Amino acid sequence: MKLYIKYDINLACRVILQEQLESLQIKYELMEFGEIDISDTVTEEVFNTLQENLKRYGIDIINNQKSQLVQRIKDTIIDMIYEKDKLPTSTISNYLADQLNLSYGYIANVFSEYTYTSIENFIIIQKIERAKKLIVEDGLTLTEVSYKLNYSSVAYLSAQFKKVTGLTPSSFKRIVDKRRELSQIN
Amino acid sequence: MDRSQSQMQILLCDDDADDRFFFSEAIKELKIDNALTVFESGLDLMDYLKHPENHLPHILFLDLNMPCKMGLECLKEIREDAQFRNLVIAIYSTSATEQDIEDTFSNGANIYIQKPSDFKKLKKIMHHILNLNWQYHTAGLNKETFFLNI
Amino acid sequence: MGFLKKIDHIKLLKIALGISIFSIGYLLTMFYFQMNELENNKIEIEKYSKADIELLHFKSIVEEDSYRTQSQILNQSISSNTIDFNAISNAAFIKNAASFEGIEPKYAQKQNFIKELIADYIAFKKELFAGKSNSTVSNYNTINANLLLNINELSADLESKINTSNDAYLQMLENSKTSGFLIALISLTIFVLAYVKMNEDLMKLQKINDDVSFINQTLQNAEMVAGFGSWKLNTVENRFIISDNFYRLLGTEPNSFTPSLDKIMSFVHPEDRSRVLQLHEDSFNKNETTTIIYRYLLEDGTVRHMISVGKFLNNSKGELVKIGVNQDITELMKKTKELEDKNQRLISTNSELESFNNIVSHDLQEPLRKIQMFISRIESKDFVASSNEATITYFDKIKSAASRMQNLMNDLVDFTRTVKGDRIFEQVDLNVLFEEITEDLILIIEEKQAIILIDQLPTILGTKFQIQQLFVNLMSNALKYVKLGIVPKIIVKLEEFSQDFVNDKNISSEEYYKITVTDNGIGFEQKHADKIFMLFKRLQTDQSYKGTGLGLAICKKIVDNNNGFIKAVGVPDQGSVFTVYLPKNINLS
Repeated sequence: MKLYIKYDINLACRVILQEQLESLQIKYELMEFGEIDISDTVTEEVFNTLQENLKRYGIDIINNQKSQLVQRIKDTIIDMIYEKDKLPTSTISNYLADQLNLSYGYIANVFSEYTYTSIENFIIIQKIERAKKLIVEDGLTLTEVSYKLNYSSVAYLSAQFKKVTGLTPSSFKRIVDKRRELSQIN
Repeated sequence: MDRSQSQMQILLCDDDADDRFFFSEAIKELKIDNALTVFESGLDLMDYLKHPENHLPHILFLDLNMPCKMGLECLKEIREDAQFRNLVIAIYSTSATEQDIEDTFSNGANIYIQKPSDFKKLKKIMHHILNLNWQYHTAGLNKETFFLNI
Repeated sequence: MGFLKKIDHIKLLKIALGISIFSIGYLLTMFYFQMNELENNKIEIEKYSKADIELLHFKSIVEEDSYRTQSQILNQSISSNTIDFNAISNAAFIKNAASFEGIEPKYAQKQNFIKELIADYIAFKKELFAGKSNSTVSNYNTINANLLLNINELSADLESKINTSNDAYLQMLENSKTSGFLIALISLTIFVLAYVKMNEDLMKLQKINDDVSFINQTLQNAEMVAGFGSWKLNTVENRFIISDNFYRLLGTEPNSFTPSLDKIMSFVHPEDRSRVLQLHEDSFNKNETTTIIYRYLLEDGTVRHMISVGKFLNNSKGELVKIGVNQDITELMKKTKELEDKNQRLISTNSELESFNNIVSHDLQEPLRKIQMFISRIESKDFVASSNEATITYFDKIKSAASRMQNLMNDLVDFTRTVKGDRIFEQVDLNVLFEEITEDLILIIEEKQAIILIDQLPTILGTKFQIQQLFVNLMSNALKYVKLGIVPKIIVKLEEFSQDFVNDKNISSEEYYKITVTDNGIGFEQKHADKIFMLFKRLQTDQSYKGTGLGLAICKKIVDNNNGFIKAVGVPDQGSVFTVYLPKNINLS
């Protein structure tokens, strides 16, 4: 039997974090995604165990000001893309600078230093990722997707999709369908 | 944040010595921290992947046309194993027929690269792929729908 | 109208016959009664005649007596002695009453009356002759006349009665004559009618017979034209009947044997026999229509494909009969087989086309791409600065890629030649062929100091250049895939064998030569044995063994073209044996 699941990565992470922190008896408060406020001081030994345990789930503790910033930049962008009403009226650079209260130049530098890519590129990848989800999981048409993701036209969405994936949205959908068909047979 | 954490683990499986040479040269010249492991046959690759002590790579480059064990067979075998669900597999092949592309994507490949005939182009492609792959790893994107055709 | 007439005619005939038979019955009954009556009448006439005769006899006695008496009276010589009273009283008429029995009573009364008169007569006469006074001659005459009158009256009565009866008798006789004639006439009519009817029926039967024999003839012609035979099996009497053309289908003359299940089964191909028999027997379980396709193996060895359809019926006696039709579908099967073969060839041509697609998209592109890659490396700015040595290496790589491409193209040409297949078969002496091959390969043989041992080989039928290509490829493989430092040793032999099994097919020494090429090279894993004959399936990952992946595929193709088989047995690092089976007779399909 094959099951297709749609999961909330955010919730899954929160549950893992809660379990792990509680198992080490650390007093904590989960903030926005990616931030944990720890009220007690923690010994290095306990910290290392936590780091070790979380690593098994692919969760890294980012103990660095800059990488923390990168994470915040990513969060801001993802928030912006996934919540349509948050899409900025101003330019993205202004929006990020406003949100993070830092100069855009600094933000862009730190981001590309840590991610090997530019903020603009990251945004495109995230938008296409969202588009894939909307096509595959919600079964939306390209017109609907382009409207939802604030693309000026279907053609523009298709072009960007092709540029990022090398595939047209329709051949993308066909491949996903075929994959599911194949895995159902197996 | 230790070094091995951010280092990209790359596997390449190609029977052609020249192509292996080009590939490693191209990767070397990229400014990306990586560790490349090379296999000459599908059998060697499968042995390595199945060995429990070896860490899972971030990305696997797989030639389609190899003696003994064809790339497509390796692909299917890897995808059948649950522990490799999340492994990003890039097909690295001379041919780029519709049939090959559809077959490999449907059987679980994430990326399809037609071997370029220009070294600069190879470098450019590798840069693009490794970057994109890094985003998928670090931003927790859904690899089930990760496709790239270059 | 004619139809109606016919109906009327037959009906009328039947009605006439019916009436005739009824009439003759009626007439016969009547005739019987008439005859009875006639008999009765005759008896009555006899009775009356007898009575009449007695009466007449009596009359003559009385007349004589009266005559005598009167003459005595006249002569005055009356004596009592002259009168014979006894003669009168003893007369049958007086004494015998029997003759008047069964006669109408009025005649008997008359008789009695006459008897009384006689008694009076005798008494008076006695008195007369006794001389009694009151007796006179005149009185006597009165009495005598009265007596005679009565006798005459009775006699006349009887005679008239006899006459009447006689008339009636004659009338009756006349009637019965008519009846007899009518009976004879009607009988004759019946005979005539029956004859006409019988004749008519016979004519009809004749016509039906004609029709049946015509239909039979037509059926026989149809069976011959359409190539089918029919049969009938009476399950109660267990009797088989088969049509003439059925005999011909079995390759025998009509009626050349007595058909039976066993006999007919003996014609069925041994491989099909048990199946056919089983299906035939099973058909009796449900009495359902059965269709069987099987083969006959005729005495002259020809194989005929049949389709047989059997069906169950009940005959007029209510016995279960299985009837069937067998059709010769050999031609159909042959055509179907041809079509299948053509389809198979199309499929293989298609797969070859796909292989060519693969060749163009991958194998030809690969060396080309490499050449371009090395050129782009040499061109790049950062490379110019590096050593001259690397440049030389890159040029070497370019050269080897180019020569690889050339090899590939040469092999491709060879391969397409085998695909196109100008299949002209000729006598090829393998001993001569191998001499030529050794000459061709002499440089590499010398270079590797290889040992070549070639057995005495047969002459085969085949396409010469293809057979040459086949063994050149096998030999050069044996020379190519050898570990460094080992002296190649190749043995070519004609092997003795009786029966081998290759690709699910039995191969017998009667039909094939078995030629082996044995080497001491790098060999291969036996599990890959089938793969090595596929296009572009190279087993060797080691770059030092350069192959195009076409060589053995060409060998396979050639062997297929020459209706043979090829197989390979290998042991890694020890060597391999390639076995080629080539047909002795090329007409093998």
